[in-house]
Amino acid sequence: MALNFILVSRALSPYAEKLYGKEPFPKRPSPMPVPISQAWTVASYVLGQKLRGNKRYPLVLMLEPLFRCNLECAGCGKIQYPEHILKKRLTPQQCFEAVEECGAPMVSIPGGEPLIHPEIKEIVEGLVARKKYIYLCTNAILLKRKLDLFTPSKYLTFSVHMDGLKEDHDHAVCREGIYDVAIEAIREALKRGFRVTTNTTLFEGADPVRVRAFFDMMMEVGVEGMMMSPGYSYSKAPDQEHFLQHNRTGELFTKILGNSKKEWKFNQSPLFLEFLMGRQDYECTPWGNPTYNIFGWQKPCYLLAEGYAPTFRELLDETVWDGYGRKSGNPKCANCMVHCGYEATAVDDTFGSWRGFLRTIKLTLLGLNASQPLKNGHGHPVVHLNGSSNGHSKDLDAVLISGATNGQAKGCVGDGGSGQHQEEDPELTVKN
Amino acid sequence: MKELNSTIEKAFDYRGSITLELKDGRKMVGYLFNREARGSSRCPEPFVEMMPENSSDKVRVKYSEIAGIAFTGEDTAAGKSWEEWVVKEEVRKRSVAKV
Repeated sequence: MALNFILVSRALSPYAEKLYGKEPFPKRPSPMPVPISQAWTVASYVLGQKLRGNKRYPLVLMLEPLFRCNLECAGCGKIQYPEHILKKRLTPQQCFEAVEECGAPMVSIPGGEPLIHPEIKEIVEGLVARKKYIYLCTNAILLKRKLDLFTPSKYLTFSVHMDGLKEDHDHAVCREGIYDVAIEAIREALKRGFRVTTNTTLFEGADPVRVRAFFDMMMEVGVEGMMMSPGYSYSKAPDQEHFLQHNRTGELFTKILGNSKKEWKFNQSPLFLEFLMGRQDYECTPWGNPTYNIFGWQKPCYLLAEGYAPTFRELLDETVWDGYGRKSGNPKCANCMVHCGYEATAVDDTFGSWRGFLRTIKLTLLGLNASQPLKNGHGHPVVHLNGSSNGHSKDLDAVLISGATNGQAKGCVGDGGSGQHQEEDPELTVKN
Repeated sequence: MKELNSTIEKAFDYRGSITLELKDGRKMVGYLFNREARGSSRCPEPFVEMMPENSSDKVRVKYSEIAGIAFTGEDTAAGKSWEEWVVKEEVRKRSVAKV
């Protein structure tokens, strides 16, 4: 089914153009600009999990090898730690063990800034050898200088943090000039044959017109695809006033993605993009993007740090999952629509129901402009999927279920895990 | 016990080093990154986990071994408000404009 989906959706586009004219779907974004091998790997993995009846399975491992960063963005709650913690980092061996323990087909390497890690070359090489699709998330300050460490591969993508056009990006990262540095690094990476995507976090006050202009710019630069997400209100982030509320997120993304341009390519599930526009109402899948860092397996997700489990199995078995997600009523989850919680839900929907599958094909072929606003009695666009295929309508386009949710230590002082490296000379070349 | 639980929760939320005073008289300085008030499958008793400042190891300490907790390190999340950043940014831009 998955291979059919990938091949059919790619194969039909040109025929559609012949049948309907040069531009049959004049505003058609292409939501799946990934190699077929990657799409196939993910599809077969998800279907395998479905066939085995696994309700909770990881899709993307968020591997944080260190917390230190060479930027201090106002919306980031990841880097506020004492110096001796910022000096610690995962060893390559710890990274490999986590990847194997988790089993997810994709590995995102955020941080902190991973390119600061003195053994990032070994980490990436080891993951490529394991045939994991890696998204190395970077602010690109060090990218151009460190490109020589890496070899272009279908398994390696640099996911560059870009929060908008020059003024917007420099403002978001709290430092002028970073946009230009990142653009230069992206161009160089593309020239050398690397896969490059962007990841964009949007906050309250984002200007849809400027965001659209930013998409145009990134396509002109030549990135493979773009990823975006509303920001999450980390309790430790300095900026608490500019995180998007749930209803505002739908409004903003509808303005941004409505009337999408055919040139835009998104490295994301089209169903997730619909979710951001308020045209799907998914429940969170916090186990979809499990996080591993120097403390262990983070409970329950990449955004909330409410404790740590020593093994992935214990994370899955001992986390009280019902306490998270919007349905739970947990205020920390109330306004969260971040991709690390909801994109896995969208992917699960694609391969978990005919409705989700057909809708994904439709959006892949016709673009997001084929997405219709779905209205419930309160004028709020909703299709509630409850995180699984339960409650799906047979109707491809619509359904509304208004607001409803049917739809290693032994315990004593002195023992414990071991082994983070102590960072001796981090490369913080551009730090203020 | 209630007071200890409350203090441990504050220490868990604190983004700075703390000093753990143990009932046997020892002191441990480090970052408290985890606590299990109900214990876990590995350790049924409630415990905290720390990364000491002078070690790469993770150290587990049972609640029953703790005599006191002091917040001895700087809170790295404090004093970096958005408002402060905006003010700083405006001052910087004004100074650049003058030049």
